[in-house]
This record gives sequence, structure tokens and C-alpha cells, in this order.
Amino acid sequence: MAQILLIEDNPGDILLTIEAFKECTECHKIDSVEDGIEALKYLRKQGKYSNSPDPDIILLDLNLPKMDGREVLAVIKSDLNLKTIPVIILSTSRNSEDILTSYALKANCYITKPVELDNFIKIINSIDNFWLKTVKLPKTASKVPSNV
Amino acid sequence: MNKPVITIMHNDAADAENIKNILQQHGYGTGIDISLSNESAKFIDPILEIKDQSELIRILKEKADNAYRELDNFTYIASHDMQEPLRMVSSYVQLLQKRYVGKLDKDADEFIEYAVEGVKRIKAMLDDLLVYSRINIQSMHITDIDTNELFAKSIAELKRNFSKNEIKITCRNLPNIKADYKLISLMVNQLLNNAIKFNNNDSPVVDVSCERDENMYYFKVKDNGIGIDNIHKDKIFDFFQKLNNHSAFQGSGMGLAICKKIVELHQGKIWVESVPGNGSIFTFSIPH
Repeated sequence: MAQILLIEDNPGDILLTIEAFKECTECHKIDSVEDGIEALKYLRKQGKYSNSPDPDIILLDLNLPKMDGREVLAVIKSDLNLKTIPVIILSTSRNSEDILTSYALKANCYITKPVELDNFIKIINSIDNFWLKTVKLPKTASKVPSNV
Repeated sequence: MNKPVITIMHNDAADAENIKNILQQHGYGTGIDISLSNESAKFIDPILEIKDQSELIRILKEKADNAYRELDNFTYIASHDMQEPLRMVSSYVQLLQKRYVGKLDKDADEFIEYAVEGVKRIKAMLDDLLVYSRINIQSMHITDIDTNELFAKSIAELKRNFSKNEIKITCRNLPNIKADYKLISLMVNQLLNNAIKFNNNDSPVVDVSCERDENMYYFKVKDNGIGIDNIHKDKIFDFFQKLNNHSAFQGSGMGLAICKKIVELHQGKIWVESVPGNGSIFTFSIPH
């Protein structure tokens, strides 16, 4: 069972993602936060998030209120304690600028949300298969060397 | 488009009358005054200030072009912004279907089925509206096109999509034209698709040919399908027009509106001749 942080402001999308993960073979623990400021508090265990777990992967929407997804991504990837966590961009945008910006800011991959539910479930399944079952995640490795 | 009250001030009564006629043809129906004066032609109008007839036509054309562009922009934004809420509705009715069909009762199953089908149709319509709004003169890329090759590609793709029927499509005497390949392809796909779709024969037969006169090529797509009643012959090129009960022939109802826009951007025309029950001939013209 993996720990997932979903950063997404639309409650409909949050529930849909949780429901799609239920269709996977293994159950995962999913926490969600609705804007970028909350996301950083969660990741840094500030305020009400003092007991929040370290996520194995982060699913990040690009269009968020207060601090948008690109800024959150930039902050995560420049924070020594957070930058090793894989960030998967999950956005409705097919805009090539959004895709390029995300990779330039060191997103680990970029996925466009499909309209059809079955396709969305397939995508969530492949996230499960690849990021949670195939790859070795940094959380299981020893601490990041300070010179990296 | 708002229609301002226009005063034509002109020193020649016949010319002024001429200009009034042109304005009326362009939708300025009422509110046109003629005032004979010694000044040269001039309009008192918040938008138009015109010296002669050719300038008047140029300005009216510009206004019409702007209105089309605005409509395209509006259509694009509207259909694009509706995708998000549509994705929610579509996802959740599909999730209801996936999880609860067969577990509630017969009524519930039927309600869910209608909701899922309805959402699919809205999606097809919005997708085609987006396609329609993106077809414009700015995005056109004119090249030399071998239409034999273009039709052959389209036919090959069509045969893959309609595996259930034995389809016979013949092409004769197709020329090279100067046009936008992607757009002409889109139109040809649509016309061939319609020829097979609106066809109750076990083996649909389609014949493609081309004639020419001094200005134009006339491409003809002739089928042995269900045909179209005379009274609907113009209507079918409008937005969201479907002549048939939707369960019999699925589609967004945008296909021929898209064809019309494409052919008009190429300075051509499209029309249909048909005898119901005896097939249709769609003709589109492209200048050479």
C-alpha cells in the first residue's frame, strides 16, 4: 500500500481519482489538498498537518487557486527535502507550453486527463503499475546525500 | 450585428439609391435615409464613413469577416470551456453505469443508459463545434494535391471503420488541385462516410468522379443510399441538422456544416441532388 498526495481543487476530480484508484488491484492511501499553499503545508508538516505522512508520489493539477501548480512544482523541486518525491502532473491541458514548462520545472511525467471514464481508469491503473509497482521509489532508499 | 440608422448624403439621386440597395442587401433593412446634397457621397453613421460604392462594399465585407471571426472565437471559447463540466457529468454517469447497472432496478438501468447516451452526443457535438471554429483562412495551408491519392487514403481508412459491410467505391478522372490538404481530407472523409452511413444496402456503392469547366472542378460523390428529400436539401448544410431519428444514424449533425465551411474557404460551393430511396450526388466545386 502506497501513500499518495493529490493536489487538486475540484472536489469532483478528487473523488473521481479516488474512485479510479479503487478500480486498481491494490488499495492505496490517498490524501488530498485543494490548493498550493495547503500542499506545501502538508509536505512540510506545518500546522494541522504535523502528523501528515511522507507521500510516495504526488499527483498535481496545474490550475490551482492561490498558488498554482507550476509554482508548487517549482517549490517542491527546489526543496532539498521534497525534490526526490516523484511529481506526476495530471491536467486537462494539452497545451504544449504547459507540457514544456512542467518538464522544465522537473516534473517526473505529464499526463492529460481523458474525457472518457474508462480511459481515465486505464491511466490511473498505469500510474499504479509503473510508479507504485515497477519503479524503486526514493522513500525506500537512504537519505539524500547533502551534496546533491 | 447592430444596425445603425444611416443617412446617405449624396449629390446624385441614382447613385444614392444604388448605395441604399447595396446596404439593404447586407441587412441594413430599415432606417436608411437619403439626403441629396452638394457634398460627395458620405454617410452619417457611427461606424461607416464611405466615399464611394467600392469602398462601401469593401467595408461591408470587412464587417462581415469580423463578425465571422468573432463567431469562431465565441464558438471556440464556449465549446472549450464546456469541456470541463462535461467531463464531470460524463465521468460520473459512466461511473454510475459501471458500478450500478443491474443492481438497482429496470427503470434505473434505463435512466442511466439515456444519461450516458445523451452525454456522448453532447461530447460529439462539442468536439465538432471545436473543429468547426478552428477552420479559418488564417490556418489554411495551400499546396498541390493529387486528389486520387487523397481519395485513396480516405477510402482505405473508411473501409477499416466499416468492416461490417462490403463497400464498393470507385474513383475516376481525379485531378490535381491547389488546396489545403487537411481540410479537403476532412471534407472527403465526411462525404464518403455519409455515403456509407446513410445507406441501408448490404453492399453500399459509391462513385467518385470529377468534371471541369473553365473556372472550376466539380467533384461528384454519388451513392446508392437512402437519399434526401428535396425540401431538406439546403437545411442539411446547417449546424446540428439531422434528418433521421438519432438511434438509426448516429452523429453530431455538424458534418456537412463543416464541409460547407471548408469548401467556401476554397471559394467553392457544395450542394446535393437526390431522389429519396435512390441515392444522392454530393457535388463540391474547387477553382483551378
